[in-house]
Amino acid sequence: MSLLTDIAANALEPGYAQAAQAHARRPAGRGPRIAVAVTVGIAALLVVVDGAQAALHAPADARARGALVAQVQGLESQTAALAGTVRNLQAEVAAASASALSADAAGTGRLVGLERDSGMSPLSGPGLVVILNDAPTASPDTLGAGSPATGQNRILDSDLQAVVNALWAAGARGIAINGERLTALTAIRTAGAAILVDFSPLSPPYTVEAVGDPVAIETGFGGSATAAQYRTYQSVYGLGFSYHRASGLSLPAATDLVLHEAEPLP
Amino acid sequence: MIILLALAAGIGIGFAVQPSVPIDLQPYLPIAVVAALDAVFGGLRARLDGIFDDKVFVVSFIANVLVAALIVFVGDQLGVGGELSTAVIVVLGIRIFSNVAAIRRHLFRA
Repeated sequence: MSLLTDIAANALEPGYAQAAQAHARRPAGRGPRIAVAVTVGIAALLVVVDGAQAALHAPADARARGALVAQVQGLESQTAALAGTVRNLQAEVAAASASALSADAAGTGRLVGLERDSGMSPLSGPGLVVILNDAPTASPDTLGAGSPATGQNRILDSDLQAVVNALWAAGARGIAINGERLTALTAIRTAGAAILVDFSPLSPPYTVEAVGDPVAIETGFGGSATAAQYRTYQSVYGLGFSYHRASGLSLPAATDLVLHEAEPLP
Repeated sequence: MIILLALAAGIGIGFAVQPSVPIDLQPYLPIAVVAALDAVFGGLRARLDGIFDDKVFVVSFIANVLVAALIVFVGDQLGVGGELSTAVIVVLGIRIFSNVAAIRRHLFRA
């Protein structure tokens, strides 16, 4: 690094040496001291002004950051409060419907069954667990929209749709993918490189839990064309595909259920 | 003596007046300050070396400050202001360090 060495070696202005030689040849009197003094004064002024500027800006930056932090914290606590309100209101609704239907055992049973089948209430019981995973050779950037060769080693939204449909056909009462409960209106689709279920992005491995009669589902699903297809994909492309019966599955209630047609009685 | 007085006066004026720097000049102030420090330490070392010269000191001070600010200004116009600031700081930093080391050798003989 001869450049840096040069800088270090010639740290002193060469002008001083030249001036000294000139003085040695023809000695001059003392120069104007006052100019040096003024220069030193200006230097001190510059340093102080710069320090003041830096000190001036530091609190402004800290203030802006503090305001953002406070905003985030405020919104977080607001979210928590709203979630608490939702829970209270849900409990209120449940209590109100229970008291309104207390005299109508048949209606209560029907409501519970409908809520369970539509995904509005949690569901637990035995069933089948299907696990799908990308092939080990799949890299995150090989998913190209519309190009058939790139998607073959990854699980796509259509794969999950096929498996879910086969499970429904095999008699599943309720299905959840990675803990997202499916309803009749749930969309399983691809956005970018992620699969969205009810607008929640999921990442592999995909665990599809289906609650129902485990033996019926396993025989129905295992004998389906979909399962045969994925067993082939497994051996040809190395896709992860396995399923097993489970006794204690518990599916959460679906979030964000909106009534489209039903209206409260007048 | 008059130089120490001027030093004190500069510091005092800076604290007393608290001049506000125009926003357009603010990016160049730190560079100018480093250049000024370089000139001041160079002058101090020359003084200890016995070759101090008033004219060289004043001219090098003004020229260093202006050129350093100008380099950064031109760099800003070309879109490489940050890089040129770094370059100026590196060069002046090495010079300041070398000069302070020379001053230290004069003062402590070590």
